Amino acid sequence: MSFANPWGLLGLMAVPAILILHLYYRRFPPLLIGGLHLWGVQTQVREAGRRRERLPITASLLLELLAAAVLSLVLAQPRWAESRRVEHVIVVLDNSASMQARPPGPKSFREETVEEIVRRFQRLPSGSVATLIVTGRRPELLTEPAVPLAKAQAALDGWNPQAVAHDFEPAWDLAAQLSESSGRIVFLTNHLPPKSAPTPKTMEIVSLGQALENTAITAARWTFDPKANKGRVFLRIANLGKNPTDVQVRGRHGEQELFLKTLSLQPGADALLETDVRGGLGELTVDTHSPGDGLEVDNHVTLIEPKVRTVTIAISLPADHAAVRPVQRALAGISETQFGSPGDAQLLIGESAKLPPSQTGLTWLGIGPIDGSEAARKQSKDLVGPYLLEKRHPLLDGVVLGGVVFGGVQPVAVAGKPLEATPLVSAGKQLLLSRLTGTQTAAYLLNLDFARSNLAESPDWPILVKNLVELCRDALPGLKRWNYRLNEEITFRPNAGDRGSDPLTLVFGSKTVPLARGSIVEIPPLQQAGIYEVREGDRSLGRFAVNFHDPVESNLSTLGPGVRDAVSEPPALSYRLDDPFSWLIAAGIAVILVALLADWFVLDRQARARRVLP
Amino acid sequence: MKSVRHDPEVQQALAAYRLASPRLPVAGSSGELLGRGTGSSLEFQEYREYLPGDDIRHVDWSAYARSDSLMVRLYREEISPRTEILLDASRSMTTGGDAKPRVARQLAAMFALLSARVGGRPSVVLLDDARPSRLLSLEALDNLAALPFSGTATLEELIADNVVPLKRQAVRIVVSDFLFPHDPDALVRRLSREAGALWLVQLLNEWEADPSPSEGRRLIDVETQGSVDLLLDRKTIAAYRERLGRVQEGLRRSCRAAHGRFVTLVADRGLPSLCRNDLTQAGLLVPAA
Repeated sequence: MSFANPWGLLGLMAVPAILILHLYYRRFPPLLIGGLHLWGVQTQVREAGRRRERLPITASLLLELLAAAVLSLVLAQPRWAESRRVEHVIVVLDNSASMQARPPGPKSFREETVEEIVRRFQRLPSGSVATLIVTGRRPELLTEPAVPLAKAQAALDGWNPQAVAHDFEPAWDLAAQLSESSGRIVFLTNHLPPKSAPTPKTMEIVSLGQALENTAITAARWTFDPKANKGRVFLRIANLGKNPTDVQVRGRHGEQELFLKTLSLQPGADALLETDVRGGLGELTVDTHSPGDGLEVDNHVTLIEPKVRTVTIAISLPADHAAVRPVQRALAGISETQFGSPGDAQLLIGESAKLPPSQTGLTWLGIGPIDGSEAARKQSKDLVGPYLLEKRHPLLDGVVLGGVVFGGVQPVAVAGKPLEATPLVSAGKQLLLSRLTGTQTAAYLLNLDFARSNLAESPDWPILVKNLVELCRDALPGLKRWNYRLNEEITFRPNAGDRGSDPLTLVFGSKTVPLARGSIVEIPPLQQAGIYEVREGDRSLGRFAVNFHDPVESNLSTLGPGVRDAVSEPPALSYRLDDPFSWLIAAGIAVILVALLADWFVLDRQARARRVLP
Repeated sequence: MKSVRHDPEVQQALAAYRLASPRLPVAGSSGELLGRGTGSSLEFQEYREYLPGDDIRHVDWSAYARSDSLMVRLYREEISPRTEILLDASRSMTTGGDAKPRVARQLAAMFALLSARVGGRPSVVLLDDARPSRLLSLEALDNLAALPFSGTATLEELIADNVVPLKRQAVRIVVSDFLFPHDPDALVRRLSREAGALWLVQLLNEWEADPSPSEGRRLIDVETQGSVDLLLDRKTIAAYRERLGRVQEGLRRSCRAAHGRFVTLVADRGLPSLCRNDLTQAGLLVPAA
């Protein structure tokens, strides 16, 4: 027996207190009599001071002692844990999409795993509890920890493994943490992890998988040419099995078939399928079918037709500016752009001496020389490197500046006042390309004189301009892309004027998830493939598709059965269930009440006797 | 203060009862009670042979004719006896409320008045700490109402100290609770010495006669001031009853040996009930008609 609250035993200190009260502080009412000798005791005369007297064993004393003892027991909450020992099993479920693979036969790996769990639950002692953990980049609990087996079993019905390939260590760590060295951990998967994997020593690994043939769509893309009003779908189909197979690829818009092709693929080979589709479809679905295919989730792709995001560009350079022709030449090769007036432009390219207004949504590129005076030109420098590039900035993506001469470099100042800027390209302390701060405009300043520089002739120039246009395009409202993979980060930029009070939500099927409003709305990595929609209230702001593309997870040839026992047994394979024994507490309280009532009855009877007796 | 003499219950008893005759003849002057010697009353006692000096009026001539020997008739002597009512006036007579002292006073008055009715010349001897003991004549009976029952000396001590004026040939009625330590044989022997008759009336209160179990009490002897804390459980009560029974049996046995009578009365039952039942059954009282 143990006690859930051993401090309650301090209540037993009431026992000596009651004894002392009855021994030294009893108040026997006096009774005047004649013939004390007839009571068979030695008469005594009261004297001052204490005397040792025999403790009177009265009914009141016994009842009070009983009440104190039972009260202490109730407070201490005794536990007869030996008869209530139960096991706590922590089940770690491989949440990979490959668990949905279906070998020849009626059951998928997931279904076999569920049956294995149920069989194990049936072997556990009555009253045992279980904790279900699903693996993932962030492992999750299917239910709260240590729930009854029936509840855990019911929770398995909602287990739908669909994750891409991921590490299991976070889930194992969580299981080890929850086990607290007393629970049994079982990891159910479809392939044994390598022995070098850092598995918990108390974890048993059970694999119910087997190698399967599988073909998968490992990549899908849809581009759109607004000029031709024509789209193009790119698909990569891979044979991840060990036998050659023929794959039938069928594209459809709703029930309307768009294309149907058959590919012959050798083991381990893949094929790129490109096909044109007409514009305005909005959405299309691609299905593949091959004999003996093991996994269904990678045979389907749903794509959303890309939207046209045209960038309006204005060039405010003087006609005789040395940068005009290089700029025009670089912009000519960039699609989905148009020229407009400076007031309507999203990208404004002008002289560096004329700073742009502070305006959200405007991108500005100022090109030197900063000071066009002859004196300033004479004082300017020509630099040949080396250059320090801020490679992480998207504007410099792919830019190397090898052999580029930055000529006519001047101090970054206007009217003698230095400009606050963040360097992107610098040479020593000299800023060559920088982003101006203190303005809402995305303002970049190119500190060179094209008349004295070979940048326009280098391959870095069109790349730099292209990056600048794409930066500007990314700043346009709406989605950047419309087709994503699982677990991919997705951002959404609302219109600058969209500051309504309606909440932003992400809708997927019948599920609705609230989104935090901001200048850029970040949508958390999504775990389920399908069509999602961003809404503001009831108004749709954009739809996008998320598809399962994971060659690693689609490769079922490495699956196989196996069991790996725990390296060491946990110190205690079971733990004590904190059974409150409410019936015992109720009985104890009843005994206390009865004892107190009886004590009251006895004392009351004495009081009445005192009134009656002489 | 109410007069004991005119107590309604006493008056009722006087009307309903009379003193029973002692079993043995008692001595005294000529009166309504029969003496233990032969006398001139009309109640025949026995025959004996004639002796010189006998009254020839009592010779039974018929018997002489039949037996040819002179026989004289002996007649019971009629006396007017002295009655001593020894009333225990100690503190123990006050326990248990007012029933015990009240009935004690009533009994003393009743016995005195019943005795006076038959010419018994009663006197009430108050057994308190006064030395010698005080006597109340018939005329001073009302002083019983003011009797404080404050004595601490026991009857045995008073008798031993010869402070109790006991008259020879008197009918001696002792009213006490007899709850003091004593030797029944010695006590009764002293009380019966030179007594015409001896009646011992033990007066107890209800709880003294029949205590019931209860919780702990501090028992304080009103006379000795001795005290003890006791649990009045069944075992203790049974032991008390046994000891009280031994006292009563000792007094009863000693009285029988001394041709006396012993009766225990429970004061709480009231004088009418005690007269009707206990005293009548004990042969101390007889219905008046």
